[in-house]
Amino acid sequence: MTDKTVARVVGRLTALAILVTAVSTISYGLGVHMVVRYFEPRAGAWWNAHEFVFAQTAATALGLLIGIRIGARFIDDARARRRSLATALIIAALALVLATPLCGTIARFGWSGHSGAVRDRLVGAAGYDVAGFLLKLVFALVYALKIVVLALMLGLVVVGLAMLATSFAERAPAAEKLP
Amino acid sequence: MLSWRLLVLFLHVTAVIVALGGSLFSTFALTPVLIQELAPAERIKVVRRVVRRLGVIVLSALAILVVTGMLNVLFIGAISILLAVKLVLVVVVIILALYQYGTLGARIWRLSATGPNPALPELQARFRRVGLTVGVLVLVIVYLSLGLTRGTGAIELVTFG
Repeated sequence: MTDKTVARVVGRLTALAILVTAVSTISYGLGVHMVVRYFEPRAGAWWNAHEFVFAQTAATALGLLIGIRIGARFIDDARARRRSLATALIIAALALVLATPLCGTIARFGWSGHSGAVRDRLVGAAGYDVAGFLLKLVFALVYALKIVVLALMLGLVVVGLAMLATSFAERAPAAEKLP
Repeated sequence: MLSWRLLVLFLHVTAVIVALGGSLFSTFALTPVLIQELAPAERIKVVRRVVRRLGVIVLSALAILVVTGMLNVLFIGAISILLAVKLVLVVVVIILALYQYGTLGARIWRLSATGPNPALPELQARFRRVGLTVGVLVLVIVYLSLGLTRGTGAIELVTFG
């Protein structure tokens, strides 16, 4: 694989993760499944059951990808960077299964956007009825953002491990080894 | 006595000791002795291999540190302001470590392949400076961790939301 191919794959995966995270998080926050249910009941029910999982998984994947992209910038050699990126993508794909529930659970702790100040501002700006609607959207966006940040940390670590597995595995020539 | 929580905490603390201890030993014990005892040509042979091995140790320890740290948060069941600050510092430490070993370490490895090189002393000095910064930040993180479990910033007292 060339540098351009790897960069293109990472770029497209990031764009896909952004799109799925945005669509599923906003859909969950605004209850879009009700609109889908109106036109196609079965599809609406399916989307209602899965939109949260989509949001969680895509946000984790997005965080991992951002972490991998940031981390890869610190790999000096172009060949090592390309190999590390490819390896990091494979590790991240495998880690996604465990990282999604881990980040999803931790993101539930702490500030969730359900504070009095946020509610008051929304009520003041949009009125009481709309604010209730928007508050759920804020909650969903804050939750997704927290997952992205947590997964970003894992992404950085994944690049480090990929770097070890690829370029650091290169051994010193035997003649160079000290007695 | 033996629980998953204790095992995770043990691995977390051990990873800190390994990462910090390795960097401190290299900076304050190994490097000065190498400068005093070995000729430049021999020294560079040792240094380049030490940088590689230390990179494996430190980056592996950081990976264990992050994963066990996240599992610890899972066991604690809350995110405080202190913990959020700690997480930000952890991100900075990982980025610095990647710069130290991915950029500086890789350059040292490449340039030193043919023996001493005039660009190496500056790179090695920067490598040590970044290593020291990482060490100091890890110490701050350790202090924040103590604050989380023993100090007034304990989870029950300072939590978001």
